[in-house]
Amino acid sequence: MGGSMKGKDIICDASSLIALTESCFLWLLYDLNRKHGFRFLIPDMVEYECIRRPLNIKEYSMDAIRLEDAVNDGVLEVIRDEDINSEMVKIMNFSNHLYYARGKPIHLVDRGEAAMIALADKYDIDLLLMDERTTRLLIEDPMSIKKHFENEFNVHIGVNETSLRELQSRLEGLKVIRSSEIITLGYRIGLFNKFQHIEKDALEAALYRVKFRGCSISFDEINEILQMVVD
Amino acid sequence: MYTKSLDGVFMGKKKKNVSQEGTSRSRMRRNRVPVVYVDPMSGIEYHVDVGHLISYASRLEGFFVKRDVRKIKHLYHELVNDLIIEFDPFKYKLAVVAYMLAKFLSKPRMWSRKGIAGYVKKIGRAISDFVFFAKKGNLNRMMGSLDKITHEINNLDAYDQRYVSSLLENTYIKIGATMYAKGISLHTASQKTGIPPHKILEYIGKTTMADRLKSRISPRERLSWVEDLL
Repeated sequence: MGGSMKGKDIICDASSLIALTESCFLWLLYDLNRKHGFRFLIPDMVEYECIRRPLNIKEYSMDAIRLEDAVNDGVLEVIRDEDINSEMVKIMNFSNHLYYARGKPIHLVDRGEAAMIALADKYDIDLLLMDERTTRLLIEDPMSIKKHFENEFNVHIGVNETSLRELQSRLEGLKVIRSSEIITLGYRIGLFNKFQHIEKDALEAALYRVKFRGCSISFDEINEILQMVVD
Repeated sequence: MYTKSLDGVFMGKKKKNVSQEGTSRSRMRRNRVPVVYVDPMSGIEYHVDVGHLISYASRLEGFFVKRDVRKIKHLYHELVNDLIIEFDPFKYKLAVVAYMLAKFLSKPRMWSRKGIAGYVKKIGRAISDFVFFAKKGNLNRMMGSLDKITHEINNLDAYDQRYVSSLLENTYIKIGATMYAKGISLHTASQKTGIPPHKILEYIGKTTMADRLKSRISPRERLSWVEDLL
């Protein structure tokens, strides 16, 4: 990884990059990078998910090109660090042997999410940009996933305490923001001024746009944000 | 000629009653042991519970014969729950078939189509074939039967096609999105179903998934974390 600016580093997941690109709000990352020195980092697994793989899918290739362009412009930095592989495998093992249904472990997370956590751990970065719900809950409230599974499957879900302890030691201190927070931040620091007198409408439209593009934000939370910016 | 037993389960070629009963029992015992299947595309090894698949497929066959959409949909959800706990490509394709059949059966306009009886017969026969080959433990032919069913339903859909994406493609997306909504991660759902995360997110964004599981952390708190970077 290049020069140390740890304080302004954010590790990004494919889910948020996809939501921001499809909603035409990738420019916010450009502005935050160029005007405020934010660094947006992506593990190579995430690059595969949101750039290399969709490049071959006609429906999504334009989004992939926009993101590749952001990489070429230095707004997104791809981190290729093989040293995180062993930690990534450990995180996958603990996560995927955390909950048991009918005596079988539930495969919860994959390499993309595990690579983000391993990268955060190695470079001591605590902020993750992630619209995806499951990994966010795993970081913030793992027991809510257990309850959710029990509601969905109507069976008892066992928890492997060793895996839980190991995971919690790795996830401690991690903070997750979503594309909705990036948009709200953009609004609060004046990046929406270009919309002139309809900037608040633009904020509301932008929040709904990313929600409908898969950002895990509820209608109540959108209302809370809109109320907050009025205050 | 192929025959059906009294309970509607396909039994293969007709044999004498005694030997048929004996063969059936030994097959049932054999079917309870998981069989190893290596996916030719990915090289991933799966432990396939053939007995379980026979049970699912036999129920599906019965519901299809009775045109019972509600029960087929219920079976589809059972299959998806099972896929999350233990994924295997046969169960996945069976879930695809169940969803497609439910969709097909719930479109009344399809039933007035010329030659529909032939399609229905082919689909019913392919489900029977799947059960037959499952009882024989022939994994390749089982996969072939599932592919045949999806092909037949897709042909029907192509005749009636009103959208760019096919029923088959929408079914894959629906399953990927359902798996994600039920609790596994986006990448895992994408990896297992082969559907790009874009499509899953697009589908899920139009559902109330994010509203069902409340977060303990408020947007105000999250915003403060990123504002601290300024």
